[in-house]
Amino acid sequence: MNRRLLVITVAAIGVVTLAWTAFVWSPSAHHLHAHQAAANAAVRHQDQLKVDLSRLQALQAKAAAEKIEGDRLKAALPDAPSLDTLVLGLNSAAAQAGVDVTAIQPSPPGALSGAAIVTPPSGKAAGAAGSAGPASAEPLSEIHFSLTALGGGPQLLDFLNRLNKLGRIVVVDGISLSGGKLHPGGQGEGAFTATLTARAFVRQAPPSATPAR
Amino acid sequence: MHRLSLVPPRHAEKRRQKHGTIVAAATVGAVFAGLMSLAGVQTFRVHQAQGRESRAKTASQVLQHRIDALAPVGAAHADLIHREQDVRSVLSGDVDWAHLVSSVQQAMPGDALVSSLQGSRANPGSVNIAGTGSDQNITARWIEGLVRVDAISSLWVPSANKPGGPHQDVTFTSTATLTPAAQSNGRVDQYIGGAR
Repeated sequence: MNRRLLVITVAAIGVVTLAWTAFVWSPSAHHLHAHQAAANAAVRHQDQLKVDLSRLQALQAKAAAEKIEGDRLKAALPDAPSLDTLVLGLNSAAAQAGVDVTAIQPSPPGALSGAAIVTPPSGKAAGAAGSAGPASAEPLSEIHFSLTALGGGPQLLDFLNRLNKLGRIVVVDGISLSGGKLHPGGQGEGAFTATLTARAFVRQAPPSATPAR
Repeated sequence: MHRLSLVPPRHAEKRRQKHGTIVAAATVGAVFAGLMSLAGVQTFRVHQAQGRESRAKTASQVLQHRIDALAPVGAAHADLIHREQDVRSVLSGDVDWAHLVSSVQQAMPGDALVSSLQGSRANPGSVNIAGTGSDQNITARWIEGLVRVDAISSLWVPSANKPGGPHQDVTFTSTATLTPAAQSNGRVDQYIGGAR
């Protein structure tokens, strides 16, 4: 092969290679990368969906238990003021404790007051309960009410314990006991008048004027 | 031995040139064929990736349908979590008043009486207790006893009065601050739990 033919051959190979690169290899490489990226993304999405599905399947297995707890929480923090059930609950607890409720004075639902919490005083760092709960995820309103009850000391303590166990959450912010005499160990003397300031809660935004039902 | 060629030198040169042209064309053709083979492999890989993407998308669609069918379960769970947060929020700092009064009753001197008690969880939580006893020793023992109640601190007795007369009782008042130990325990668990 003479030199001229060799040069022509090399030039032809170069031209063919360049043309192939420009018109065949580059577009196909671009396609390949695009499809590989799309395939990888699709596989990742599929994997994520598998994780989501398995999480939902696990939740489905617990759906019955969660339904029960959900119902319990709906009773604890109802979506409506439900003043009737609140009064019924308070009266029922009083009756079971042997206490006579003489007055209940509820206010319409209002914005959460951010009622004070017990802060650890200096020199007595007892208790590990958090002083602030997590932020509420839904708007809550509260029904402030005062309750006056008559009864013996042990009966009133029983009533307070029963308030803590009500299906609907009632938080007692203040208490005043007077009229009787508390003895050491539990037995009382005479009837006490207990005045409680307390709150029940509604899981809805504080309305400007909310009906009782 | 020397071989003689009868072919004229011009013909030999032509043959050599023809041979060289064929070799050059074959070389270019071989390179071209090799490049096209590479392109074929590349195309095959593109098809593979397309197939992988297509299969993943099909599988994702099936999964998505199943997830959509279970969406109410997820929504119910999210609602439950929010409600649990609300319960924790409203019960933070809740005071167990019955336990507080019982603790005071257990710690007070045996010959003292509580005539009134006011408590508030307003910040800082406080309690005011008025009591009676036969003499001022009871006031001292009242302080000694109530200091042991971990639900209160900063106990103070601002007054302890005994009116004139031989059989008059001492009336004293005391104030204290609520501590975190006054908070209710386990009340959150009463509403939350069981589902997990």
